[in-house]
Amino acid sequence: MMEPISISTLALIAGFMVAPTPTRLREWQVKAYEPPAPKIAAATDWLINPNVITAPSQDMAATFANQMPVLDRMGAIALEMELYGSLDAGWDGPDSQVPSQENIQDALTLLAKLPAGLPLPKPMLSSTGSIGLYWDTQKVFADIALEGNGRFSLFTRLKSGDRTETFADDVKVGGIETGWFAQNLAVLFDA
Amino acid sequence: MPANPCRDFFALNATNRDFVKGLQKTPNPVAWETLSASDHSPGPVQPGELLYRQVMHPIHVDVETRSLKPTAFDDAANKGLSVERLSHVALADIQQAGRDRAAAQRKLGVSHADRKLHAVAELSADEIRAILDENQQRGFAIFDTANCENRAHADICQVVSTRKSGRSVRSQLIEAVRSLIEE
Repeated sequence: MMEPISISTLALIAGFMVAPTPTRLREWQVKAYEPPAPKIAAATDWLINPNVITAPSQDMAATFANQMPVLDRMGAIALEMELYGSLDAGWDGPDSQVPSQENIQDALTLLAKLPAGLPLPKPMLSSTGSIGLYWDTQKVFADIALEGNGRFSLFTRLKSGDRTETFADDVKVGGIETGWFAQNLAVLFDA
Repeated sequence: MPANPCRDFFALNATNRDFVKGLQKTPNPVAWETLSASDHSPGPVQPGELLYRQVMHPIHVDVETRSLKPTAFDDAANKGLSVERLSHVALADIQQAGRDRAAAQRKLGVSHADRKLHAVAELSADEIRAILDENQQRGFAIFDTANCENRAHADICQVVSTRKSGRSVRSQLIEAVRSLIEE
């Protein structure tokens, strides 16, 4: 006859069974981004949960066997970009298109070049397959659009005062470094 | 029947999925807003009308702010942003039509498995018509593109063509969303 399981053993098992505590997202980039190695299958469920940003798993056994890392905000942005790449044509209606892998990689490259101290952007995807990054604060709207052929454009607009707009077009992804963003997105440092 | 270049343009481009580019090349597309774009229409979109856009994929929603991402309405720059006029259809019917459309697309295959109506966005015709680019040019025009199955249908079309103006008015269009009614 088996010995009864003690309360402390049950507590220990329960401790392993509960879902990981949602990680509080970091608001600021603190180090250079390194693209994650694993690629997840197309799934959008995790997008609609604002608290937990672990990838979904098939069942509890798979969760223990192959737990995806809990991501910080930078990792979540990169993961969403990679999710865009796993979509099929028609994902947003009969005419919708998927982004090119080249544009996704260019977006990740730009993400790695953003200066520390800058608020992190959010990724976006249009039904035409165009991808980009954007900031929408109380004071400033800014967005980056990947134009293809290793180029991008940057738009900024102040939301009050003279509502100044800036636009940098046809910029080479490989031709700029962190300092370029520090200069062209200076409005975001105190936004 | 008097000449109606607006109706002629939309009839000619009925199957053109990039007709907005052609619209931007016409001399004054904003002036066509006073003309009817379709024989099925109850009339041009009037001041004060409310318009609703179905949002069919969660990628377009920022989960932190529960607001739409700037690319959510990019159809306005190519095939026209389909909306429905509250003056001619009930909100509940707009939502049900979205659910039915998603269900029909889910039957098409695995790649459409996650299609569902996620939200409807409320917009004001007046606020859309007030959007200007840096040169004080109207960013969008609204046309009553009704069809035999949907007399409340309209299209919001971007009528500025430069990349900078396009980005400016796109960001303003998202800001013009008055409310996002999630499912």
